[in-house]
This record gives sequence, structure tokens and C-alpha cells, in this order.
Amino acid sequence: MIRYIIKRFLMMIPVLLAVSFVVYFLMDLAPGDIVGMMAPPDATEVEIEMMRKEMGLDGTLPERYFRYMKNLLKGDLGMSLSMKRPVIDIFFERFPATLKLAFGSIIVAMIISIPLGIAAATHHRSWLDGASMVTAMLGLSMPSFWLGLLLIILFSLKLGWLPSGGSDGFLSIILPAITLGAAQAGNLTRITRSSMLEVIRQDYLRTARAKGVSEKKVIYKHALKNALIPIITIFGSTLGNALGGAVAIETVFSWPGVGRLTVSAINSRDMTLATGCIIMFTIFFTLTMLLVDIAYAYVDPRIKAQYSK
Amino acid sequence: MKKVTKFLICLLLISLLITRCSGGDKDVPSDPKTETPSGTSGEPKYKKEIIIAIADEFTTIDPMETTAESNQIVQDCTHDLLTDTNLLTMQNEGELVDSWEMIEPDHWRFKLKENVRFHDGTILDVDDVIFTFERGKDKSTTSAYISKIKDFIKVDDLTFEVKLHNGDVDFNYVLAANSLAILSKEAFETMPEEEAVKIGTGPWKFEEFVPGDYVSLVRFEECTLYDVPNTERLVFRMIPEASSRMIALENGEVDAIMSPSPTDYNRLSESSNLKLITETGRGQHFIGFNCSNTNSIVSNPEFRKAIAHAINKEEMVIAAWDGYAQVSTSIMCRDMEYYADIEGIPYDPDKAKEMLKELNAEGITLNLITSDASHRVKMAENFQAQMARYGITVNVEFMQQAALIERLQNDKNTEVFVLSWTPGMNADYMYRNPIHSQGGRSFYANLNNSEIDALIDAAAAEVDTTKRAQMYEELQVRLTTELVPWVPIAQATLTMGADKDVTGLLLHPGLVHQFKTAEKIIN
Amino acid sequence: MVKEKYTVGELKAFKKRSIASEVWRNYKKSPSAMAGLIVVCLLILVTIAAQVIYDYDTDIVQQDIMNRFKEPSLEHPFGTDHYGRDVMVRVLYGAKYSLSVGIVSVAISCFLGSSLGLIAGYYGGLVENIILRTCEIFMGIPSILLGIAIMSAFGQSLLVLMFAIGLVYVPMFARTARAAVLPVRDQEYIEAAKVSGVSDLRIIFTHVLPNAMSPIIVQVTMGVANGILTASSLSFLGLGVPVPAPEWGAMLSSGREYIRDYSYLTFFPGLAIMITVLAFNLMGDGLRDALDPKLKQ
Repeated sequence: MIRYIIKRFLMMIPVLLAVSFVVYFLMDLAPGDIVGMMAPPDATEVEIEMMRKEMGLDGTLPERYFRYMKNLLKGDLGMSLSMKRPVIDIFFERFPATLKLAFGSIIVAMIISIPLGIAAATHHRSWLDGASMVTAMLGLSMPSFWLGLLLIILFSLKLGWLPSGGSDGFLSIILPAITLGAAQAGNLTRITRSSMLEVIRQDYLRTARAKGVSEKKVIYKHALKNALIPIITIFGSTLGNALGGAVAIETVFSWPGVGRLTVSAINSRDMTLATGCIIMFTIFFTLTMLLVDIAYAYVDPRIKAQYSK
Repeated sequence: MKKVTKFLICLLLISLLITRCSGGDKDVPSDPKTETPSGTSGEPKYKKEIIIAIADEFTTIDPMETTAESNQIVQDCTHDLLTDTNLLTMQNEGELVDSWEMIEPDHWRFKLKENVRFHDGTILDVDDVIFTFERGKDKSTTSAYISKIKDFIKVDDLTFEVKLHNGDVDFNYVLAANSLAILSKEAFETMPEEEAVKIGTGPWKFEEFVPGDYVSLVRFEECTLYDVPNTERLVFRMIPEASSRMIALENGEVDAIMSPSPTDYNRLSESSNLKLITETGRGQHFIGFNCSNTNSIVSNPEFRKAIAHAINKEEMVIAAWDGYAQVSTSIMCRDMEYYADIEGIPYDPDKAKEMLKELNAEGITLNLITSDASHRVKMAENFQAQMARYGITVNVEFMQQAALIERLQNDKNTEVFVLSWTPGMNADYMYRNPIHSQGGRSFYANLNNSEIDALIDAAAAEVDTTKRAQMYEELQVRLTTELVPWVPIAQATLTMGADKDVTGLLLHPGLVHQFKTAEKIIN
Repeated sequence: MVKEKYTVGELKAFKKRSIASEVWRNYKKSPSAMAGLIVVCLLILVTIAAQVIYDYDTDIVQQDIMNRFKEPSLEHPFGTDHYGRDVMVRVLYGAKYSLSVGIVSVAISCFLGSSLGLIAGYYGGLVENIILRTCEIFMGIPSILLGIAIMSAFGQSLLVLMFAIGLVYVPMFARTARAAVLPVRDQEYIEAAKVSGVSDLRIIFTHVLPNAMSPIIVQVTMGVANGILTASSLSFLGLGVPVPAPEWGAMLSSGREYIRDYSYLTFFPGLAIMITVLAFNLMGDGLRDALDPKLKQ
């Protein structure tokens, strides 16, 4: 198991280097020059060349990338070109807000989807099943930024109950978390339902029923626990989706997170900040996947046995 | 299988913890409703804290770091310039300078104000100016200004002279550049740089900056240059969305908001406790042509004139600014020195049709590029719709500002573009960069007209103001009606929304709005 | 009369027909899947009709500033926008963009992804490792950010949008295809074919691909739905089809400014996106169940 974890950690390094290359290359290809944008309109060519050097943007693409990668291997993501501060600092100033939103949305998603999924599975092929599946499907199909706008219209503008944006206080997270959670809930409901259905048909439940254990107890004591395992596995991808989805949602709700930061970094051609943010996103995402795998092995002995082989 | 439940519980706890922690470590400006007013009874009571919602991100207090208006607005509260535009009279006046004298166009003498105190307690003298200019020599935001100076002569503690490489009768305007704010030499000798740049002479002292959230200032009690503000704390909070800013203002979370959405203008002006503050901006928004693209019809001045006749500017102002802009008739901006109120090229669709027919330009296709800023996209879309009425197809390509500038600089095939130009106060600024062929990097119209170049140079060096005025009028008329490198559309109205009782908010035509005396009397 | 002997070709055709008809029989049983199919067909009809009825230059480009912000009425069922353009005309005309982006981008990712997946699954070893690791790299980057980066690198146009979204979903197809190939890779009949000198390409097409078909088909329908959603997100963030193309995400984004007073400007384009995505999702679900009845519970 330990060996497996170490192996996974080591495998992250080439992946991250490759991500840095892909993103750096794409950003370099993008037309537009941050130096030209930041220089005063009456700057001369010499002054611009001076700025370029100051920002570490001189030389050919391989030279620049090599310089960047050397620093990256030392754990240095460089300085933001537009904000003139270390990328890593800027990222971590904004990251808690995104994490807060992502976790908030997952809580919302779980609150909605687990009961809904169980209800659908236990009332298989009833109207309840159909209704919850349609709800799940709607959640999956709705563009989340649109849902966000609709919620703003209803709860902020018409009813005036909740703030339409910003990040002060508990109230302001409610709408963005619901918006982002709704999309995750769609997926989670479907998975809860199918995994519950699978478990319900298992022999040991049939035995339990035969022994006269009440249906309620069968469901909540025996079935639910086993059905939750697959849900944990998709926790990682849910978190990943939440982080990705946060990009649009943060824009809708003026949430001061990294998603919005990354988009504005890309737009303002702040290469180091954009590349740094995407690399950090990837690190976080990969780490979550790893943690989920470990957790999965921990809760399911069958998998643990596989790893130790 | 208890483990599953345990895992889920742990997860919930962790996420709650994260939510709580990151929610708690922020020092959110306190709720204005719970504040007690300051001052004793009898005197007017002032609200302790004024919160201003800004749209763009504040990033640094160092005036030499960037020229972004969002930073300069805050820096303007904490730091001062040698000269500055008085926003009430729109004249260039001394700020730290008491008086000046132009001995020759290339030889100027300045005298600083006495007893101006920095936030660190030291008193302003010529050494601080020398230090600031020295620091600015190799900063990209200031080097262009500093390099104008040949010699800097310290006469006494408060008097200095500068000799310039070339004569400049408007040199006092150069010192009004926000990046040339005077810093304290002593502060840089005693503190680390990131602390020392916070020290200025303004009525506000830097307090705290939470990136992406807010920057706060406290009043400078020992201020000698200005009266000590009645407000104790000034907070600039970053709220990028116009609608969120508006709602925050309506809910009383903030006292003033920058650039409200045009759709909220009516709501602001009709509200009983809010107000809309307006000022015509100095940004000239225009449809520009790449005059040297000889492969395209846009290189023909007759065609450019026809387009100028064809555009209904009033309609474009409604489409792009919901009507909140002043239609331009001249290429020059209205509030500038030497502006002449010329008629320009009027909207005349019949004449335009006739001219286009003569030029055989019906059914042609033009390519237009612009940035993705909302009003530019709207101008471009409206231009597209208007041109379609003359049988001209316009392909619009929009991109980020950085990409646009690069395209304008490098792509010889550019035909038409939508852009704006916000010059400083003095007339030379209007023409030198965008029109003069040696003027800098932004001559995207590529007019390359030696007569015009000579006229711009002559006007800048002319000491006689009557002659100067004639030259600038000639420039205006020739550029607007004869050469037409741009079709000037409008100068957008600058706006701010505020609580009705908040005073001391001054809009700056160049977007560096002033909040030095922002206050609110509480009844 | 029943024929006693069939040629191999006839048998194959017979088998194919029966599979198709069985899938269709299964598919028909699900009302939601049928609803999805009907909506998709209607959407395609609407798209074609809108191209015929409306003229791009007069109905899409032209503005009518005097009639801006008209609330929904009989004359303008969805109201008019900030340029006085009819929102319904734009929504109907705009179906073309969403549908074409969804379909073309999925075609790109399906072709590239499935090929890579089949190659990886069939050859195994180093090739498989390289392909899988590359997929991992791209899957590590949140798809929307990758999309934004590609869009800003290659500029904004319909083609780049299709290409960007197509590229984003390549790894998903590769994984699906590879997973479907794995179970048959070591089967004896493949070995036999190899030994008898049948070319790899032929083996992949005749023996391997059919096994991967059903998950790929499901992935395609779901992919169209995802592609439309991602495209609208990108347009919403300002990286989409150039103006004045009435792409739904872009309409939403420009209507957002007026959300307080004219919320119908954001409502209708969003509804259109949702209905389209929902229809493709329902179809995908139905297909999954129909193709693999065992999965249906």
C-alpha cells in the first residue's frame, strides 16, 4: 500500500511537468503581449525591451520554458507578471474561497442526492423513482451559470433574501453553493440509486429479510453502508468537477476564488499566473484522486487486498 | 462497514472546518448600521467609515509599479504629485509645488510648499523629489518622463530647477503623471521598500490590503498639506460585477460605487436616498481606419469620409452606452485645452449612399477588430448593423485588449478598428501618440502625413497662445473632415453612484477619481 | 418457406438487422428516451427551418434601436434585446450554433479518442502506457480552463470552439474505447485472426470495434450534451462565436447586464440550452439501456 502511494506520488511529477508544458505552450501561442499592454503608451522600443527582460520574457520559447521549468522543479512558480507578486502567494490567497465553495457545493449535492437516490432505489419503478430521475437529469442538463442567474433573480432581486454576490458572511455562500451543487447532485443521485439497487439485490440482504429483519432496518443498516462505497469513489471527480465548474460560478457570483483569477490571468496574458494556477489546480486534483483511492482501499478490504499484491 | 460512515462524517467535519476557518479569518469591514457616529453633540456628526466599491482589482500601493486606474485611485488618497489637475476648475495646479516659473521652454524653476509632512513624520524637501526621480529612472512607468530631464539643480531645500533636453511649454503637465507621486527619501532609508512605498503626504494613510477583497486607509491625523478628513477610515472594496455593486449600495453595505451599469442610472437618479454623479469623460471612442493599408479601400480618404457621413452616432450612443455619452463632432476631446467647437462631418445617409456609389463601394466587405470590452463590442455590433443598411458587410473579430494591441501594431492587413484614446489635459497629448508618425507606439491609424506631423510639432513648440490655438484648430479641422483617420463617435459619460448624503466624490475625466474628502454627515 | 442454408454475408446482415431492431424495440419502451429523441428531431427541424425563414443580414445583423427592451408580447414572443432585435428569432436561429458545435466537437473527440483508445487497448504495452498517461495529463486540467487556454491561443471562431471542445473530450473517449477493448484483447479468435495473417487494422475494425460500439455510442450522445454545455460556458465567459452570431451562451452573457429589469433576456436562451442538453442526455440514457439491457434495473 505504502509502495503504491509512493509510486502514485512519483507519477505525479511527469504529469505535472507535461501539464506545465502544455499550458505554457498554449499561453505562449496566444496572441497579445502583456508587456505591450502594461507599458505606457509613449514608451520606446528600448524601454519595452527593458521591461521584457525585467519580466523574464526575453529569449526564445524553449529558453523561456526551460527557465520556467527549472524554477518549477525547485517549487518556484515565479512572479505574476501583472501583479508583481509571487504566484504561489496569490494562489493561496484565493484558494480557500474556491475550496470553500467546492466543499459547500458537495455538501449541498449530498444533502439533495443521497436521500433522493435512496428513495428512488427503494421505490424502484414507482413515480418517486421517475420523479427523482427527472430531477437528477434536469440538474445535469442545466447550464450552471444560468441556474445561478435564475437564483439571483428570485432570491436576491425579487425576494431580497440573499446577497447576489461577494463573499462576506455565511449567507453569501448559499446561492453559489446551491448552483454548483445542483450539477453535482444530478450525477450523485444517479450513482446513489444504481449502487443502492445493486446492493438491495444482494444475497445477504435477502437473507436478512428472510430472517425477519424489518425492511427499514435492512435498508438503513445493511444496504446503505455498502451502497455508499461507490459514492466515495466519485467524491474525487465530484470535487474536480466542482473546481472546474467554479470558474463560471465565481464569475456569476463575484466569488473571489482561483477560477476567476485564472480566467482573468489568461485574459490579461499573465502567463506565469495562469500557468501557475492551472498547475496548482492539477496538483490539487491529482492529490484528491489519490486520497480518494486510499480512502477507498481503506473502506473496502477487497481493494486493499488487490493493492498489496 | 462503520468505516464508511466514519469517513463521511470526517469529510463533513473537514469541510465545515474549512468553511468556518476561511470565513473567520477575514476582517470584513464592520457593518455601517451598527456604528456609533463620531464627534460630540452640537457639531455635525460624520460617519466613521466610508466604503467605496471599485470594479477593478487594486494590486499595489507603489505608484511606480503600474498605471492602472484602480491602483491610482487609492494612491491618489495617500500620495501627492508635484502638480495635479484641480477637478473643480480643471486647471493644472501645484499640489506639492507652491509655484513655478518657466524661465525658458527648456529651463523651469519650481518651489515646493513649506512644512508638508509625510506619514512617517518627516518634512518634504527637494531631496525627496531627487530621490523619487532617481528611483523612477529605470521604472517603465516613469522612465519616459524622467528622461526628458537633462539636469536637475537643487537651489535650496525647497527650490529646484530642471533643464530639459527639448523645450516643452507644458512641462508642468508632465509632473502631474500619477506614477511620479513623491516618495519619502527618509522612509526608504529606514524601512524595507514595501513599507516605504506606503509613505506619502496625502490625507490618508495606508492601513491594510486583503488581495481580491479590499484595501483600507485611515486618516492622517498630523496631515499638514490638507485638512484632516472628517471620516476616520476609507475602504475600497473590490466588487467586479456592476449588478453586485449596485445591490451592495442599495443595501447600505457600501457608500459609493464606481462605474454603475447604465441600466441602473435611472434607479440611482430616481431613488430617494441614492444619487448618480456624472461627468463627461475624456476618452474619445472612435472607429479607426488603417490609412496605410493600400490593399483596402479604407486607405482612400473619400471612402473614410463617406463612412463618417453614413454613421448615425446618436444611434450608436444608445446602443453602446444607453444614451449616456456625448456625441463627438471633432477628433479632439471636449474638455481639453484648445478644443474648438467644429461641426465635423454630419450624419447624412443620402450623401453617404451617393459617395459610396461613386466609389463603387456597395457590397464590399470590411474586417473590423476590437477588444471584448462591453461598449466596444456594442459599438462594433451597431456599426455592423448600420453598415448593412448601405450594403456593406462588416466582419467583426473581437479579442482581449492585449491581443488587439498586438494586432494593431503588427498586422498590416488591419482595415477598421474600434478603439478609444484618453489623452492628458494638454493638447499635444491628443495628437502626438495616435496621429504623429514618430509619436510612439499607438499610431494605429498609420496616417503618416508629414504635413500633419510638422503641424503637431510646431504647435507644441509655439509659445504664443493665439497662434497655438489657430494651429490646433487647423489640426482638428483637417483631421476630422479631410483626412479622417478616425470617425470620432462619442465621449462616454463617467458615472458614480453614491448614497445621497456622501460628499467629496470627484470624477476625473482620465478615470483617476478623487476621494480625498469623501464624507457623510449623519443626522 | 424457410431457407435452410445462409451464406456468411446473409447471416451477418441478418444479425445486424436483428440487433438494430432489438435495440430499437428496447429504446421504444422508454418514454423519456422517446421524448428525448422527438425533441432532438424537432430541434434539427427548427434549425433547418430557421435557416430558410430568417435572413442573416436582415434578421440577425440588423438592429432596431427604437424598439429595444420590448417585453414579451404577441409580436415578439420572447421580447426584444438591447438592440431591439427579436429574441425568439435569435434563439431559433442560434440553435444552429449549439447543435453544430455539439455534434462536430463530439465527432472530433470521438474519432481521435476512439482511435487512440482502440490502439491503446489492442496493442497494449508501451503504446498503451503512453496514450493513457497523455490522457491523464489532459484530464488533470479542468476542462473549462483547458478550453479557455485553447480558445485564447487560437483565437475566437466557431471552428476553434469546436476544435477546443473536441480536444477537451478526447481522453474520455480514449478511456471508454480502451476499456471496451480490454475484455476481447486476449480472446482466442483474435489470436487466431492474427496467426492467420489478417492485418491489424482489419482485426480492429471487424472484431474489436464492434465490441466497443455500444459504450461509444452512449458516450457520443452524452458527449453532444456536454459539448453544448461547455460551449455555452465558454461563450458565457466571453470566448465563443464572434458577434452578432446568436449563440445561446453569448446571448445569456450579454443579457446578464440587464438581468434586473429585463430578466427574460437571460431566461429564454438558458431554457433553450437546457432543453437541448436534456434531450441529448435522455437519448443517451435510453440508448445505454437499450444497448445493454442487463444494465437496466
